[in-house]
Amino acid sequence: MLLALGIVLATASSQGEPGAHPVNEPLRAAVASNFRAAFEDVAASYGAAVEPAYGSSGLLYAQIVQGRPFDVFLSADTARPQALAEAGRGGAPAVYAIGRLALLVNDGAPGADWLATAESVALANPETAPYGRAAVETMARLDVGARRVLAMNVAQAFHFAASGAAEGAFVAFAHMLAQGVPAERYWLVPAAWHSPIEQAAAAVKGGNETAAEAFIAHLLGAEAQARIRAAGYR
Amino acid sequence: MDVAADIAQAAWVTGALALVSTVILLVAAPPLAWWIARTRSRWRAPVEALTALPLVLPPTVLGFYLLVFMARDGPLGALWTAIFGAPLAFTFSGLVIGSAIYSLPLVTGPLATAFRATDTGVLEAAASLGVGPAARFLRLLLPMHRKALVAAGTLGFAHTVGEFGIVLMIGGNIPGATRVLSIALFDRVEMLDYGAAHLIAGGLLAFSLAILVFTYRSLRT
Repeated sequence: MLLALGIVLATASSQGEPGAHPVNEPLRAAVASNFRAAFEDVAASYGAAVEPAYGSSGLLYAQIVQGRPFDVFLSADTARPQALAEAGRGGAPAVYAIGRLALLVNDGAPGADWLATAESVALANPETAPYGRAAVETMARLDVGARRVLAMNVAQAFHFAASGAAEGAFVAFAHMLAQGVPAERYWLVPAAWHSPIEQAAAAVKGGNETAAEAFIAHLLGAEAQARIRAAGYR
Repeated sequence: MDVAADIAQAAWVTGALALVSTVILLVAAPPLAWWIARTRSRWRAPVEALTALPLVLPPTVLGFYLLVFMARDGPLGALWTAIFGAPLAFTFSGLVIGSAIYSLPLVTGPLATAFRATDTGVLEAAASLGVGPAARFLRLLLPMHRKALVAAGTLGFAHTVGEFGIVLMIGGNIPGATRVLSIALFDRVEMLDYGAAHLIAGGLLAFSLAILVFTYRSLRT
């Protein structure tokens, strides 16, 4: 009974005023899986403890709406932090990284010519993943009609090509760097050929918003931004 | 494409996939189940275990290996490309192969159980009258176990409709070819389109419950 009361009180206090969350607790971050490598680097250089949970932006968003306690949300897009803000559940979104689209191929020279002759190419689902939307825009710009194999996200698109099942895939440049893929196997799609792959972060209402804003400020700072660029973002 | 058309198309692909897989299983599973039920070979346990493996393996394990096998230079993918001139990964045919493996235990298991309880007197009498083994199997054994066949086929169908992990790994989410209902549901959740997600989830729930009620009722009566 006392335990139950304690849980109720703890829940109530964590949903109270900003700062009601105990200061010494680690920052609870919901982080889009594709940002994992860069996030670990940035979190390691941050002064306070951070407790990340990785997942797809859509599922993390759903968990936040359903009340899973988080302080900050680092999405792989801008739509979900925006939706969170509009629902009154999140602070103003801030773009912390811009993804870079690359084309990974198994045979031949990667580039626009490769796309013109390819039979099929894997890409993230354009309806749910910004990398997928950017890939579709690139294909439309080049007017190539290769069969599209849709992956759940950009990591699975990479797997489709890496396993040899797909001839090539639109992937995240960050994954090329993290996996040490040789440069001759991929082509960096010109950023002007598609709308920017913006990833936005926001503080979660009801969490420790002070700590969340401090972390977002760090994320947007020169030092963290240099690390994020080195990981394959703009 | 609007939501209703997308869901209808995914429902059609799901139904076609389950139907084709079930037909293949209803041809392949009975001989296998009979062998498992009747053999004294020391290979029975390993073969039975292999057949039951999809029950306990995470579907993602199956999907992961299937994708490797179906890759253009993979063993199955290369063979398929040589015969049909087109790769197997991310096609409806690839999903059929995955589904047949995935649902094999659901069809073979009930059949083997039923076959073990066969009154072999009738079969032996037919054999002594000169009826061949194929005719005994097709015209005596299978009609004897009609109910078990219906139940096994229904379970296989329902299990294939409920498939997610394998399709996620080897499907490629291609509308009209490999986007099944469970994947469409996942998409809708990712799109924050919870209305459509409810529609698909509720529909699958009602369908699965109805099919299980039908199965248990047909097994009783």
